[in-house]
Amino acid sequence: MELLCPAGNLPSLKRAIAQGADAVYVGLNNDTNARHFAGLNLNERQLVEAADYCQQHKRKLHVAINTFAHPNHFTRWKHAIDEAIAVGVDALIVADIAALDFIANNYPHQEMHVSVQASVTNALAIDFYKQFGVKRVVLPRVLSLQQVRQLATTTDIELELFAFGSLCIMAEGRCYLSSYLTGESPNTTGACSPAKFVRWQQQGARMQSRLNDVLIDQFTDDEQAGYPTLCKGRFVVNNETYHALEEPTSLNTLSLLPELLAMNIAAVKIEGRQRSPAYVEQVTRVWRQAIDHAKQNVTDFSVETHWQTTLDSLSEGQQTTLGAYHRKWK
Amino acid sequence: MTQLKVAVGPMLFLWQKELLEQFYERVAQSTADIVYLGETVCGKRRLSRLNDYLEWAKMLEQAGKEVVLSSLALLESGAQLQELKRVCRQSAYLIEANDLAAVQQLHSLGLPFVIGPAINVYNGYTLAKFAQMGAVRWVMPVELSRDWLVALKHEYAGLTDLPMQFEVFSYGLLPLAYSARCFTARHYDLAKDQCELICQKHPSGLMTHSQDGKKVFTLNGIQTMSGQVYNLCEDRHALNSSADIARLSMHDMDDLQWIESFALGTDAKRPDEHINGFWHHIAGMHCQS
Repeated sequence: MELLCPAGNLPSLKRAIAQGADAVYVGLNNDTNARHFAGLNLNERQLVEAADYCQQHKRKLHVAINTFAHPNHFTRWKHAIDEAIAVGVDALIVADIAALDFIANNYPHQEMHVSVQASVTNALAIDFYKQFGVKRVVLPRVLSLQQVRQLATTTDIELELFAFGSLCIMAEGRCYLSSYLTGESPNTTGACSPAKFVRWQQQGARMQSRLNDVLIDQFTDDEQAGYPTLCKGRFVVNNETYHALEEPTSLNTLSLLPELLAMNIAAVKIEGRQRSPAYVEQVTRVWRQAIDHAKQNVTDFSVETHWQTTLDSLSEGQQTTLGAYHRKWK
Repeated sequence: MTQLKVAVGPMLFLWQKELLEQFYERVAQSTADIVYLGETVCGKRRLSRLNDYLEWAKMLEQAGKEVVLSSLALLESGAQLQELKRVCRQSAYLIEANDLAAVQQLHSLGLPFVIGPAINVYNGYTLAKFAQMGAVRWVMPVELSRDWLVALKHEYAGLTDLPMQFEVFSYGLLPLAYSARCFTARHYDLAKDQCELICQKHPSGLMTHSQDGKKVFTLNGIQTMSGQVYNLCEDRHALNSSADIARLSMHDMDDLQWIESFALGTDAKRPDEHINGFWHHIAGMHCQS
C-alpha cells in the first residue's frame, strides 16, 4: 500500500520523502488543479526539480491536472499535460473526460488515475473510465467502509482512498456551494470558499467570519475561530443554531489501516497541498510508522497514543472523524 | 430560432404518492412539452415506485407530453445499481443519466440518453465524447452561465456534426451538492439507516438561514440546494436564443403557473427574492437585471 503525500511546494515534497512517503502529488501553479491558491503549487522549473528529486530518491511523482477545461481554452490543459509528461512524472490525476481522452489518444502508455473530482462511487462508473485505460480510481469521501470493500472485490482497477486531512463531505466534483456563494467553485476555478472572499469582523463580543458577505459563523473569545469553509459553518434550521452540514473536523482513518491492507487498497492519500512543510512532515512521519506497524502486526494493530495526539493537534478544530467510512457518521 | 420548449424536471423532494399523482395530473393539463419522472436524489425514497412512474408516464404521453425517465445521481451500492439497470431497461422512454454508471449502462445497451445536470460536462470535447456514446440532449450544470453555454456550443460544433439539444435549469431551488450524509435526518438526530423517510415532512425542503437571518441553503435529504429560488423568467429572450429547452423544477403545486410564463414568453416579472446569478456568470445567490 502506497503512502501518497501532498506537496504544495518543493520543501514539502522533500520533507514528505524524507519521512517515508512512497509517492508525492503536486499541481501546477494555474487553474488546471483543484488547489489553485495564491503562492501554492509548482512552476515549470520547480516541476522539473520535483521530478528529478523523486527519481533520485526512487519515489513516485503524481501530478493533479484535475479541474475541468473551459470551452475554447483546452490548450491550457493540454499544455499542462504535455509539460508533466515531458518531465517524466509517474502518474497524472485527471477528472475531465476531455483530458482523459486526450491523454489516452496521445500518450497511451501514460499512467492515469481518475481524480476524486470525477466523483466515481460505483463499479459501473469505474467501467466507464476503463475505456481511457486508467490504472487507478481515487474514491470520493462518501462511501462507507463496507461499500469500499464491495467495490474492492468487484473491480480490477486500483483503488485509492483519502486517509487523513480536511474532510470534504459532499461528493467531490459535484458541489456548487462555493460558486453559489462566491461565483467560484473547485470545478470552474480550482478552489472552494476562496480566500479573497473571506472577511473577519469583530462584532461586539463575537468574531464573525463571512464569505462574500454571507455570515458563515461567529465565535466567542473562548472558541477557536476557523476558516469559513461554507459547509462547516453554523447555521439556523428551525430556530436551532448548529453545524447543519458538518463540524470543522478532519478525516482520520488510522484505525482502519488493517482493514484497508486486507482489502488491498492501492494507496492511502493524505490531503493538504495547501498546508505547510512542517504539517506534511509530521503527518507523513506518523502515517509511515503506522503503515509499517500495521503490515507487521495485522492481527493486533492498535493506534498508538502519540500518533493520535500528533494528528489531533494538526487537525481542523483539533478533532478527527472516520467520516463516511463509519456508517453512523451518515 | 425555434420556440423554447418547457420541461418539468424530476421532482427533487419526497412527496407522498397521492400528492405526486395530483401533481402529474396537473402537469398533464399544462402546456409543458417534456416531463422528467423518477427519483434522482436518494435511493431510500420509495413512496413512489418505478411502476407508479410508468403509469404516470402513460398518462402524460396520452396528454401529448414527451416523457423522460430520470435516474439517481449518487449510486453507492450494488442494490442501487440493480435499480438503475431496471430503469435503463425501459427502452420505450428516453433516460436521463445523472451518473456515469447510467451513461455506461445505456451506452452498452445502445440506447440514446440525456446527460443530466449532475454529470460534469464543462467543455465541447466532453460533450462530443458523450454524443458519440449516445447522448442526444445535455442539461448544463447549474453553476454555468449563458456565456459558458454559447462558448461550449461553439466548441462542440467544431468537433462533431452529431445533433445535440441544449437544456438549461431555469426555475426552482438549485440542486447544489450531494453527500453521503442525510442532513434532514441529522437535523432530527436520526441515523441515516433509520431515517424514517423524515424528509417527507419537508416537501419544499428545510430552510437554512445564516445567524443574521439570510436564507442560505435548503436541505433536502442528502442534497443541499439554494436558499432562494432561481428564476430566469426575465432572461427568457437570451435563453431562447441559446438553448432549446428550459427546465423548471417545482417545489410547490403553485410553481406550475411558471410553465405558462416560460412557454408563452409572457413578460413575467422576477419576484424580488428570486435569483439568477449563475446565468450571468456571477455568484449564484445574486441577481442581475
